Amino acid sequence: MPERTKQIALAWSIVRQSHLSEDAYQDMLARVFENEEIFEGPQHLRDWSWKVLRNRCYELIRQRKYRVILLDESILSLVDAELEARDTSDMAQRADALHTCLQGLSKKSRETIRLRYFMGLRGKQVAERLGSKPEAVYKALQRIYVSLAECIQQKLAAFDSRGSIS
Amino acid sequence: MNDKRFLHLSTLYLEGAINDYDLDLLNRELADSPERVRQFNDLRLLTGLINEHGYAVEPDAPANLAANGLLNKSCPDFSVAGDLKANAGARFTSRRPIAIALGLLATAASLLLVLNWHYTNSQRDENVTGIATLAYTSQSSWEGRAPVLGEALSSGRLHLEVGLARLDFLNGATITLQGPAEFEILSKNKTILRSGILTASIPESAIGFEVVTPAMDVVDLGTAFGVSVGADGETDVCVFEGKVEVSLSDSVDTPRLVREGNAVRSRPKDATISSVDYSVERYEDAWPVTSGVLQATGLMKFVSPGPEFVPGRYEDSDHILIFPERSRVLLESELEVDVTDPGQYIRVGRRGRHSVAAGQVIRSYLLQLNPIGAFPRGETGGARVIGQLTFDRPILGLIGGTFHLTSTDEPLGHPLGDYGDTRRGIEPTRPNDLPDSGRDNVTLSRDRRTLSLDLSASSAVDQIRVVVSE
Repeated sequence: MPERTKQIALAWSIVRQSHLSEDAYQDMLARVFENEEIFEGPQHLRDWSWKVLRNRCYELIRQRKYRVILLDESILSLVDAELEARDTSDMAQRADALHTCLQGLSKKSRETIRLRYFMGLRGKQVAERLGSKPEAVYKALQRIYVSLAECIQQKLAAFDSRGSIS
Repeated sequence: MNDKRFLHLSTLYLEGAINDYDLDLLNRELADSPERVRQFNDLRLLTGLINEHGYAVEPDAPANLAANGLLNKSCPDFSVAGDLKANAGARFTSRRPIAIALGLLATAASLLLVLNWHYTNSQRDENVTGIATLAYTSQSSWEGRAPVLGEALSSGRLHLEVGLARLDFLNGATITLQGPAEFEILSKNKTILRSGILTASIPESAIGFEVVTPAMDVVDLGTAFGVSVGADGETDVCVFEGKVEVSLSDSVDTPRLVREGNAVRSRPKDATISSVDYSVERYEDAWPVTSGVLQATGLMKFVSPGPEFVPGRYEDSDHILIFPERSRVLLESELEVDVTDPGQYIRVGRRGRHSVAAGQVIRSYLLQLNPIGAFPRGETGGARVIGQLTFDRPILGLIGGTFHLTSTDEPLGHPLGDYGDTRRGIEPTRPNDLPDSGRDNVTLSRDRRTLSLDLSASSAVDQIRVVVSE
């Protein structure tokens, strides 16, 4: 799961759509299984899977003729390398914490997340649904991210001291 | 670029809503700072988590439990993927039949264990140290461990039972708490005020600084403001200078802009933010400390914060008024002043030529005794007022002559001030006057932080401009 979370994060940051990032991830897995015999070890497998996933995301964008704004190539390499190297061994606890923290959001914030992430709507569409402006939705998402990050951090600190997420 | 701006640009990027200019800024920020790369990926990982596990936000959504049951037994790691896929199936047009995906996933279990190999050293966030410094306290008492003066404070809670405490943030923000106050530092740009009073001065370097309260989020846009939170969470925000954005907690509505000289109020769970009268009495103890005046004794009076309390608009014949004028001014050329050295002066306006060197960043204050009503020239009997004040930084120079006062009104005077055309400055002595003759008398202490004044005003307005190191 931890590696999956990182890879979904990578895919989502390229295609910006949940279902497309999931498709890209599934395609990557399929390629992994199809080429199972070529891997010389975990590191080879990991490097290969990240590369395949990234390329698959770009393919999906091209196929759909989406206009996706991306960072400079050199910067993308920089940030992706850091993401790949991330220690995500506590991802299960983070996931547990996220469940709790999402419930602590206001109804409107939860609706914003639901529309953006699970209904697959873009910011403008979310704004239309909420009777708001796109810029307000972006700011709301920003606040939600901060709230969730802080909440998760607090839950993890509590987990470190008590051994369970509350 | 501060953290809030960086997060905003990162969010816009992930939303595909960033413009070319901001994209360029984001590229450069990431190129220059490994910390920014880490923060950017923190955000990406959070979006990954939400994608994978955020289905909890829709507890009523029907999950395809039948599809997940098999997966949950053989591959717990994929249960979420199955969940998402099942949920997504109803809403998204997936290119690949679910059956194929499930087959692959079942086969994947062992390989995923390989993918889930050992990781690099933990980069998990540690408590950031040294976000702020405890710069000043007065009559303070703390619940729990009391921080010591000069202590570097990291994220965490502070419970000031009584007194005043000033926190200087590394990004330039200055916060003064007035007890009883429960305050928490979350990061260099974000704090929580659960109860109590604070006043804040936020420089350009810290624009976006946020104070969260039980009722409202206050985001600075380059300004000075006060926040007061009652025991029931009722929150008042009063903007002294510039403007702030306020929004109800957890609201997705467009934040409301509050400009200087205005105040708003809200309560927890309220649906609205109400405008209220601009009233600053509650901030009058904390605000001078935020403004750099740590102590004012005798008949010194620090003016209330706000656009009405500026030179020319406010008089008080019983006190020497202290007007903060400008802050963070870079001297691009040498500044002529009347006094630079410690000592006692009775002819401030007639000293020899002195100057403050160019290249320094300074702030300015105007001290004024301006009796209400006019006295005929030469008439005695005007008010005599004695007082002393201590600044948080060394005094670089004093300006007490009319010529130098007038010539520095524009660069160092308050932007809203009306300095008029009356005679100003510290009155020159008359022949045979002695230091204790009752004429205007100014003493600058050896450490250059304390100024003692003995002023007698009559036909002229006694004024002295104090130039302090920023």
